[in-house]
Amino acid sequence: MKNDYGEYIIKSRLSTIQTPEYDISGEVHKQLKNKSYTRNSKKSLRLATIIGICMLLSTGVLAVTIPKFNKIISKLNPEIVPMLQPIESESEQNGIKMEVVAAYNDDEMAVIYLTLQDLTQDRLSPNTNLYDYSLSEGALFNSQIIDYDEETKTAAFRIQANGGENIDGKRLVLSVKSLLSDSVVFDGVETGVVLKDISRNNPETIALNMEHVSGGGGSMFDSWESKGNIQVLKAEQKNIKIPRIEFMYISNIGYIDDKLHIQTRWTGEGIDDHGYFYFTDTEGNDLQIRPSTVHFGIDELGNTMDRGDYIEYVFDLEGIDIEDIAMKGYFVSSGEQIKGNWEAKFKLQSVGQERKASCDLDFGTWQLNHLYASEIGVTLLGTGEYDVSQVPKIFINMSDGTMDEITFISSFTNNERIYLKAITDKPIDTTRIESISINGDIVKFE
Amino acid sequence: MDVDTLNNTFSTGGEYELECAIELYGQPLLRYCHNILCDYHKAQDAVQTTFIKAYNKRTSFISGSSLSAWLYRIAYTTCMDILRKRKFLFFVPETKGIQSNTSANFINEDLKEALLKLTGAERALIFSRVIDEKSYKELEEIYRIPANTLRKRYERAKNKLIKALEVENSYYKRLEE
Repeated sequence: MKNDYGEYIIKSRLSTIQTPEYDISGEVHKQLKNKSYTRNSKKSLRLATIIGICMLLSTGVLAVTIPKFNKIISKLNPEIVPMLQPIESESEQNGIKMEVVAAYNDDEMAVIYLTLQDLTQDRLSPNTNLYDYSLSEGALFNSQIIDYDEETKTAAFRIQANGGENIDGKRLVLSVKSLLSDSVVFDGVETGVVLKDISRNNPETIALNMEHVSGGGGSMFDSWESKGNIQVLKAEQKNIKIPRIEFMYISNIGYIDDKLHIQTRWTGEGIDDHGYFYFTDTEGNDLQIRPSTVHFGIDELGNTMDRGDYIEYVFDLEGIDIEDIAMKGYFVSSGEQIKGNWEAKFKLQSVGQERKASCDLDFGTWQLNHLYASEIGVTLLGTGEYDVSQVPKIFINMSDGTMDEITFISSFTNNERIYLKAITDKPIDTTRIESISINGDIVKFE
Repeated sequence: MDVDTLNNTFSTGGEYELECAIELYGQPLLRYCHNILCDYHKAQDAVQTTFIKAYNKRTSFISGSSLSAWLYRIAYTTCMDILRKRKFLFFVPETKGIQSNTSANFINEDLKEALLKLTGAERALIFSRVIDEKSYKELEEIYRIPANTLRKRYERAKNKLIKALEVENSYYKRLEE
């Protein structure tokens, strides 16, 4: 076999792995002779069965009838298993069967576990993503593949929906309209762009009519829209290729009004090729400087038009020493789109009690007004402008004096309304919560 | 005993044939499992389990077919089972790959970190192609996946590993500077 350069590197590195020889034959014959292998496995099986039965009983009798539910719970942190509600709802289209198997929720958020099984071909893989999907409740969705079983060609996914209102007890409709197979993620990509080498002299720009914008976001986007016209970099003045990223290149880069503009041209055929740039310090830590973006096209005459060929990323680097930072990228190249119309209807009913508190805490750019604690986490509702780099420290103080820190917080904003969701990795007994501490401020429940 | 004879006699044979199979394929399978699991002691368990399963199920082996492919198939599914049992999946954004809980230094830590950025299936494919130099036809038999799909998955896994190794190399370069 002829090796290319990459294979040569891999081969030379894998060859350094030491696998000492040992008496395989002796060990195998020993196990076959004393039969302990069989006896132990039966014992383990009995133990596993008992543990399995305990888990099933704690999650309802219905679970016994759902094999996929059992498979899903084997993939999850056992701490969350008591919160799971077994669901039996399936839909088949285009040779792919979708089954919603389990979920848990509170009033604001729902987490749904579902499987997709390719019954006729081999279109799914560990890199398959849900592309066009929605839940009848909630404003912000994300999904991850959590398992892929090659034998049964079944992929399991977790969907999280946030921003719902009164989800508990409501009949929900989950709709999946397309999947993307074989997406490839490139993270930590060294762009090779040296910020100090980018000229601060005024670059050539063109006017972008915001009516010609096909998408965008970030903190500056609202002000751009209210201006009506903004300046973006003249397209195709540079052609900076990024290692391994064949579906996009930097078509111009420069400073406009002291903001760093990085203009990219997306040339790949993937329906959902996407990504962003970020900056790291000398230790490799993400500096959490997020861009505002604007998507637009350019016609034959060089005028802007409503098409998403270009994305311009605009960074405010004021106060940042650019000598010491590296520009990196996170990019995703999407594969083939598989379309269908898979739909499941089900009702969720959380078992825990929700507690509420009103407060008036000032965090500089935003104010916290309400706080809800459910068995799956804490929801903070506020107003203002949330700074993602200033994640509040949240502790749950229990009545027995113990304290749990919540480490994962997701956030989204909607017309200056801020939703922060702090999710725990195990159920919280809300009846035992004494108070919640946010950046040292204590909020007690009503 | 040569390969062809073993292919023909394993299904009806006994401990002698098992001994011959271990002699022929034991060490290569151990290396294969070690690369997939990134853990030498678990690889020992996996290879032992492979031969015990093969021996107990030898009557289901089709006489005259490739014993090598059959054993690799069993070793692969055994490793995947071990990895599945080690998985502890609950969505936390900072989740890293599966961490080995053994400290034996059979694999350089940086290389292990790079390998653990791949899935077990990807590590298996990389090893089969680059070290074992198996053809896609042989791999079809082991993984029961069409050659074209395997080719795509291999290219993807290869690029992912090269990227991970390059990150590691750039780290070294920074240290040297």
